[in-house]
Amino acid sequence: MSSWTAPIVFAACSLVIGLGAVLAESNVRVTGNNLGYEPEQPIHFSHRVHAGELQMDCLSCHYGAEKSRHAGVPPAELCMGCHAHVTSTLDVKLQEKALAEAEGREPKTIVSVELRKLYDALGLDGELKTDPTKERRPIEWVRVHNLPDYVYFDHRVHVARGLACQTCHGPVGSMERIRQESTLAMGWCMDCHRKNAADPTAARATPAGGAIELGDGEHVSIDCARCHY
Amino acid sequence: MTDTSHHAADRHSRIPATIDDLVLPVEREGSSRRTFLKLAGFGVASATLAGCSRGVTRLVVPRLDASDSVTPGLAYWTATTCGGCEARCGVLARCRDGRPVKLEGNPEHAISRGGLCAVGQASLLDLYDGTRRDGALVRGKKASWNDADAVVRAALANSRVRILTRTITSPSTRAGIERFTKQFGASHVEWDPRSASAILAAHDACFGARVLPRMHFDRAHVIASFDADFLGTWLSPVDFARDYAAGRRPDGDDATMSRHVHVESHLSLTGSAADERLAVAPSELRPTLALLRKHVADLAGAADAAGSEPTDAPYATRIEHLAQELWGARGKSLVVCGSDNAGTQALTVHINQLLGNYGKTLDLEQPSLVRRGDDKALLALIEEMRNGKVDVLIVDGLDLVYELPDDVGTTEALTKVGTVVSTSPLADETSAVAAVVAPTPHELESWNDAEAVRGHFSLSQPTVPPLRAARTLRHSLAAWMGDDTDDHDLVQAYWQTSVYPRTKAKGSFQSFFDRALHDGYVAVPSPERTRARWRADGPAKMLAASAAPAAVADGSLALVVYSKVGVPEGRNAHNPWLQEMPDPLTTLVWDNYACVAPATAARMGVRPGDVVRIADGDAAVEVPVRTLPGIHPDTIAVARGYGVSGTDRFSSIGPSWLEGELTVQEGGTVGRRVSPLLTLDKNSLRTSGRAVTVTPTGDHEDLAGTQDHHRLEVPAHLAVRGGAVRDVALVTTFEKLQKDPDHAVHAHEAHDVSLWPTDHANDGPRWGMAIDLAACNGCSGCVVACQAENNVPSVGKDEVLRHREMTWLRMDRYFSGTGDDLRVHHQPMMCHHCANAPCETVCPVLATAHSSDGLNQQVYNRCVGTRYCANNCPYKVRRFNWFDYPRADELNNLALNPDVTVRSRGVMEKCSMCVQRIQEGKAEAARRGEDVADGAIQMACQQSCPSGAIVFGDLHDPESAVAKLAHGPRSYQVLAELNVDPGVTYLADVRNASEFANGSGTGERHG
Repeated sequence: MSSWTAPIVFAACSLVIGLGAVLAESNVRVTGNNLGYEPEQPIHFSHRVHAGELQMDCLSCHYGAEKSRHAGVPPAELCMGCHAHVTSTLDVKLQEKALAEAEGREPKTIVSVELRKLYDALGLDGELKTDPTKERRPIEWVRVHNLPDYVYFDHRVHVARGLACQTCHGPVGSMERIRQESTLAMGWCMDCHRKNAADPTAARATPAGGAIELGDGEHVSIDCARCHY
Repeated sequence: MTDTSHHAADRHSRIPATIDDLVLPVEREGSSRRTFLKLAGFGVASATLAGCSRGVTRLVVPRLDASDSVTPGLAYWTATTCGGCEARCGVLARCRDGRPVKLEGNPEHAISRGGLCAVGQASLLDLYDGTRRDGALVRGKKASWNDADAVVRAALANSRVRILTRTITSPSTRAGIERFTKQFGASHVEWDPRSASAILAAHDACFGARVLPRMHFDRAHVIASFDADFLGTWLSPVDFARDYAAGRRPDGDDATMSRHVHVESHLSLTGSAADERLAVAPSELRPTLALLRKHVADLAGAADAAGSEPTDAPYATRIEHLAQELWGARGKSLVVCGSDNAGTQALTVHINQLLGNYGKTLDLEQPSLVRRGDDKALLALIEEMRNGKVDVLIVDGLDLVYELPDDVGTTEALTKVGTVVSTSPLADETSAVAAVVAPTPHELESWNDAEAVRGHFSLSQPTVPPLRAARTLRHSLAAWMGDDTDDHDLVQAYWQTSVYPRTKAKGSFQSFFDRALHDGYVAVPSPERTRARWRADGPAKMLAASAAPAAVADGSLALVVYSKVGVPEGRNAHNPWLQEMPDPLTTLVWDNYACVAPATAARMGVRPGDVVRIADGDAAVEVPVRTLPGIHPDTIAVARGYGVSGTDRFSSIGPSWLEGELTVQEGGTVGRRVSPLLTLDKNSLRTSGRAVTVTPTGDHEDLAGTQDHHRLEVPAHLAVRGGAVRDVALVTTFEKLQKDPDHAVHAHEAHDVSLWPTDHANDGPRWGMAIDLAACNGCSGCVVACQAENNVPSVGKDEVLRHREMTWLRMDRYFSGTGDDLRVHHQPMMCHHCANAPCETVCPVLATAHSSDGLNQQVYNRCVGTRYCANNCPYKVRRFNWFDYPRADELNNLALNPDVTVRSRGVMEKCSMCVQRIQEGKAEAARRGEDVADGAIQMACQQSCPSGAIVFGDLHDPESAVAKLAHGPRSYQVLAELNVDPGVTYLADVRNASEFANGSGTGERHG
């Protein structure tokens, strides 16, 4: 073996080992593919409870999906529609009610740790009254589903065509914390679009079992300028 | 800002309460307004998190309040009024996330009817101008409003107070000024840099009413214009262009076409649209009108009315013929004149009176209120100032020092005023000497109203929370009177007391006001009546009182100071979109220059770009020369609106690189100030006719023009025999079209043979456009509209010199004919979305490909920048991003359209046929479960066009408007012989003239 082979072999081995070590780290992904991304959120909001157990319609909070490009995250005041009354779990509330009765007093408002963050954001005090000394501060959610800036995806059209949200977003009703279930890569979009574009009559079934509702003469677009402009 | 919660209708109810609501904070510390603005361009903010392998965590920060929420990603429209000029067109501001991103004409506005000019389009950018003043100044130092008000109030006590403004078109401001002048015994002087003082004076003398009649070009069968650029820069161009186009519909069974004769000294946009154009020297304008009056008076049997005014004018036979044409259409004709000579205007009034046009094409009952300025009053005011008889001068909307000639001694006169109060939002020469500056806000961030034509009211409302601490003049005057009512309430109170009672509206005032705010426009009958009675001796008296301009001596030229379509005045000089809009006639950008006839330039021995000194006595201006056919050989024309101090801000515009040159030197100005050469006589400030000597200085400057960029012609040395001339801009005559519509236009036909396989079937819609060259007057509103809609960068003068302008839509200009038969044609040129697109075949990476609905798509994220496509494009409409164009001005970035990608360096771009609008239209139709209706989707260029020259739609739908036009008798395709099957069809230009005296029916690009 000549004198210069050793360093090269060493360098090559180090590179392979190093690369392997980096790739072994679970959160390293190819650019643009964040499959499985499940970041921690500022409030432990449970889609499992809301969309799963309570069977709330996706559009009741993400109402933008019906009329706009973006599905949107609801304004905090919308949460107050329920959470002005639901301040903690039912168990805790019942316990407090029983305790209050036993002690002969009015039950106190018991606020869960996570909902406290919501009320803080809205500048509400312990009794959920507006506290003028508190600053209202919007909640900074971590965005899970990201697309590059040169992609103009439109929720509205997909909802109008009867596509179920779960087709792309996965079994949200069973997710405690929201997780990216699809690659959101262009190939993944095109798989579905191509299938439906090639045979608009037969291939309307969506992976989630829904059906795409297209009018006469309409077709699923595979044009570049459908999304890129 | 005022609470907006009581506004019922959704068009205007979504203004965030403060700028802080506009965008939500992302950085925890120092979440100042600046931070919000920094992030405002994005719905989602990005922040790099150290140590995270994903690199970027993006946040999504929803609003807290659910009530008047703005839906992210969805545009909403706010009706308001354009503040670009005194014409005050109605606009709908397209807003996203609490800020306007595009202005469009309001089709429900009865005066502007949906059109918007280049200046109006570009006024959006002024809103996001970071150099606007933030808060009041006292003696040049920042001060609180209270301190500034205290200084003004102290000065107002027991003083001689004068208010100097432009024409006030806002009735509530006028009422405020009247209240103020009453309280302080002040007087109010209105003056306009582009004055109509002479027209007002002539009507005063002839009718006893100092009014500007509203002109109805649609009712006129014969239009004679004397130096009035009514389609480009005069009075109310959008209104006029709509009317003018309405009177010129050359197709169909009810075809009608007005005849337009234009007499002028330099070449204007309106002159280029005329059926017949006569070039006269400035001194010949008055005799020409006098001659016309003589002939008209003869025809009217009132020969003695003609008086003794000299009539030794050129074109005697053509003027006589014009008189006959006018007389034939009496009551249905219109003579307009842009002269600043009151005598000349009196002749115009007299001719119209003889023709019986008053009450028909000229409305004195509902006059135009866009110009009320009085030159005489201004001169008297300056005299007062000079004599130290003014204690407080409040100047609004005017940079007096810039506008007036230096020999007036404006600065010196201002120093003799006790306290000068300026309201200028930008640093200018007048506010530099002001004791107090109380800056005014942008129209799009304030409450206001307008009455541009008597009885036609429009409202302005904020489309964004104030970006700068500023107060309208109305608000400031109220504050100085000790009235702390806010501006919204001042406007509303005026409407409640003075507008509402005049309506017959049922229901409460609030519902009336809300409705007006929603619509942006309301017609309210006026109790005012014009007391106009014809005074037969009026014209003669006026002519005697106003000296005729003298002819210039041999060896000198007559100077014409004109307004350019893009930058009509100094107040527009701070707008890069306007500065870079090629002038429709010279195609030059970023400069003013001296236009002379080619023969004159040859006589002087100067070539284009040679700098000349234009002088009369001590007054002199040095500008480069530009030759332009059509200008009278004894005339030299220079545009005003340049040389504005502070325009060296544009030194940094465009990319900075090794060989890059600055657009303007630090401390310099864009173009030259021409005010020193304006003439001051005892009655008025004159813009034309001054005799000047012109001498070359020996210097040379490159003028950045787009004229020879992107040529469609084959260069002569490359052409095959007989193939050098390509018919690009076709023209025919109305007469021919009437006789034989099918053969009036001779266009090349496409060949039947195609080398293309028919493998890209297009059975859905095929989007396409039809552009009517007879309606297009070249005003270039579409060019700026396209720039605003599609995030097209301004690149600066040096880049334009390198043929690297980025405009997707260009306005080509062709000359044909010579001398007195010079014809000018304008042709909007953009991507033709060819079915057999030559660009698509040469792209090695399929970055440009055909869509299923007939669009030629450009995919930025796929493009690698070979530029093969641009080379292969026969229409030369593709633009390459040589740089990442500067986007460092974060406030300015708020004007970006969030629906269009900002392209990066190294990619090709071109007209996408506003694909974002098509996709939005299709998505909305899908959401409602409907088909896309014809006309539901409008292109940005189409929407803006005051003449309705551009029609967009589905070419495959035989019932669509665009398909009907594309198969009409005048339709032709540019370069059809190449067989590229373009999606853009042109309708040949039509002139209402008999057979052209010379030249073919084809325009040539260079003259």
